Amino acid sequence: MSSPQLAFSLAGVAKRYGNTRALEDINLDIQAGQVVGIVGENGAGKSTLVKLLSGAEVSTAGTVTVAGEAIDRRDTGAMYERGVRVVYQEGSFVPTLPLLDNLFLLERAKTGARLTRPKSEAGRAAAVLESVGLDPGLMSRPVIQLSRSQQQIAEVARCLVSRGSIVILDEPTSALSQRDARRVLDAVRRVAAQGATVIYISHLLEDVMEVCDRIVVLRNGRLVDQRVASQWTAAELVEAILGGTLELRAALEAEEGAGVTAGASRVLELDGVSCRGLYGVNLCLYGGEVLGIAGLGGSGKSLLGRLIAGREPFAYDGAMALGARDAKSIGVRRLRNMVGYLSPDRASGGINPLASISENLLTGKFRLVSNSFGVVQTRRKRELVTDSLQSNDVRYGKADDLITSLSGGNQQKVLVARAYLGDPALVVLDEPTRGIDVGARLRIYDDIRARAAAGVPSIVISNDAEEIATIADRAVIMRRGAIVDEIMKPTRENVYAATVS
Amino acid sequence: MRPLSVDAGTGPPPTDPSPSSPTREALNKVGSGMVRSPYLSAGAAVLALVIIMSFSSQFFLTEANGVALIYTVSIVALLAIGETIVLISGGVDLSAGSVLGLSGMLSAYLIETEHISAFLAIVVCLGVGLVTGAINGLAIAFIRVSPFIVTLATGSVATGLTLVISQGSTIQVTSGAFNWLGGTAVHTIPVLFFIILVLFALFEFGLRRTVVGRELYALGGNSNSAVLAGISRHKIQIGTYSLAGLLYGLAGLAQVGILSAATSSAGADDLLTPIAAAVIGGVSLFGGEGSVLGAGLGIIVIGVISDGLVLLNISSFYTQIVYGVVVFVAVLLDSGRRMLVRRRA
Repeated sequence: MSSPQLAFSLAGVAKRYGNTRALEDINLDIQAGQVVGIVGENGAGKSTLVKLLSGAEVSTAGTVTVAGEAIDRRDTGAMYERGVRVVYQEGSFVPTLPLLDNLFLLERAKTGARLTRPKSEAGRAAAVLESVGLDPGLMSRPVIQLSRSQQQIAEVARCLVSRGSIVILDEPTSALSQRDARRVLDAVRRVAAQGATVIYISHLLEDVMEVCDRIVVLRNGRLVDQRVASQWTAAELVEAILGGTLELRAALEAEEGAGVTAGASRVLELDGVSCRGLYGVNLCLYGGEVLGIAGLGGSGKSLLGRLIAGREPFAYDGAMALGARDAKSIGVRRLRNMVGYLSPDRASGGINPLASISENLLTGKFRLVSNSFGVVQTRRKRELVTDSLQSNDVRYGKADDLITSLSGGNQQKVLVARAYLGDPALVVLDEPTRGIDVGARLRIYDDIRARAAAGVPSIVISNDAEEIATIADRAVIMRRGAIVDEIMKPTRENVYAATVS
Repeated sequence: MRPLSVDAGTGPPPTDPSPSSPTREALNKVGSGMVRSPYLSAGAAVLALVIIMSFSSQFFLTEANGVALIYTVSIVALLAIGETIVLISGGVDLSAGSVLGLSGMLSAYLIETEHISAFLAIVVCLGVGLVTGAINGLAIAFIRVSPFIVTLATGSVATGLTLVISQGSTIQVTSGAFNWLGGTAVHTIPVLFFIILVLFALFEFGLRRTVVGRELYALGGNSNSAVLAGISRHKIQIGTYSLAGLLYGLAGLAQVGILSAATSSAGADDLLTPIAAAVIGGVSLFGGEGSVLGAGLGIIVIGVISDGLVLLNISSFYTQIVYGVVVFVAVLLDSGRRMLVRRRA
């Protein structure tokens, strides 16, 4: 069977969800003490792979061997015992507890200890923190007081405290500044030097190439290539991720020309806008245009969207103008009425689950159907609701049914319709099609296009290069709070390449 | 299927995934009405209590008892309207009773010892409520302190001020104009009763049909999405707590009028009763759901129970226990109902 120095071995592994093939015929041996990068587009199968390795899912075919033993059942406990630890992007610390308690929280629960042992715990914590390059003095501080890079490194330290030998990191650096990212990468190398295996999952190819010993590329659920890191170039990686036959260079060059926006009026203009999390953003939105903003999680694109839409406190340097008027002179309250907005998270920032479809459609827009005394006119309300729901192709029973009686796609259509209600000057849509079916997605794209043609330009913010390519006339790329690139004719390839390189 | 008897006394309705037959479906529909509408359970409780009481005591259905009942519930009713709008907005207000006490006491003090005019005293009385409410609202909206803590603190200060002003004693109020609201009756029916009916109608309309009313529900249902939809959380919260405070001031005015005196203990028992009334009437403690009419039913439930305890010669020492049990059962029913609605969604 597998030799003992193999941390992991996947042989002919496949994972299917119904008819969907998430992973197909994966053969992968991971040696102990290596840092292995796994890269691929959204939906390439990275997270499914993590689920198999962590025991959250079991493969449909093939064998997953961990530390010399095949695991053939869904069993996170068994994987944990064999040393598998996953650090998720959003982190898992209790922010108000001191770091020391956070480091041992899981360990205490696993061992069933009834009393903490401050001395031995502190000793172990100090050793581990030092080994990953963190100041042991931090352990008495609440996690909330740590910087983001310190928190990320501490997450890794926690894996070591609980004697993890296989550490899976999911996008550990995408929300960090370059300097902070370097600290995390340094910690990852130190961990590997101590003999632990690290599975490093990220879209930031630069970081992957710097820290990893080996890089594995997934595409459409298949392992398409794996090489020692030094044998990859950035361009080769992008080609492997997107599919080798693409004429990437040509696509990248095509962006040079183009000038569809010449002559159109400027609806929105940002000049050197900076605030906490944004650095010198220059941006222009022309009439009739759909502008895409692409970037990874933590790149600041959602923050920029909220700022433009007046959904963020108006504290920034630089200038923002809507038409000919300065945004600050318009005021944040009026701006909110002039800019439509769709939140990226339907459940927490979109719907009110206790209210009906029509209530949700009109949230924040009731002034459109009220008289000058602020009384809602039932007839106008009914007309507007029916008109809006039908023109947006929402499939519903009665407008008074709870919003939660609709499918996710139809809920999203309601929220998109709301963003366009009341003749906004422009609309900001953050992840307009996240987690909805293809039919609803295409319907929403049609809608965004039709509105732009009718004179309401939109800014579409998305993680998904394909979405940007489909819907946007022009795209800008954000990374670490700044706009780093502009693409005149977005394609899936050039957007993806610009996002990750 | 849901059981039909969703009134006080039963546990949360069990779910039973039984196969559908015409009768079952019909029952299901009625049950579904029960589940959807909190009025039905509170209304059923009112009906049940009234029937039980009218058989238990020959006094219950007399005019004198009716008037007594109105006086008992009118103060709580004013507080509960304020509490209801606060709860719907997603907050809670523990200062209601204390503000009632302070507004009545301060205005009584000024009118009796400083001899200010009745008109000015009424302005002071309502003003105390408005200002306390505004302080609550400002602190909650801008400093983002939990409503529970803020209103507990302002309530405590208000109670303390009441004691300082009154030195723990009662102030008799002789001004007829000041006492008009609480002390006047048309035939035997108190004027206060009609005013409360008007207020209920106004607030029900305001919540249902005005832009601000709809925004209140949106904020309580999901404050994050409401803010992202462009609703001003500050405006709504400050307005809601201020308006609630104004109603507590009005309650203070009415309370002094009823007794022709301001007592230092006025409102002391009203820390939780307005919340209890609202919850019994289907107002959600988590915000975004309920109505003042529902709260009105809750007030009647509480009123009939406390009246019943008196008529049945049960010591008033037991009142608090009975309230506690009733609120507990109401919350239990409410969360059961909520779970069922969620399951259907």
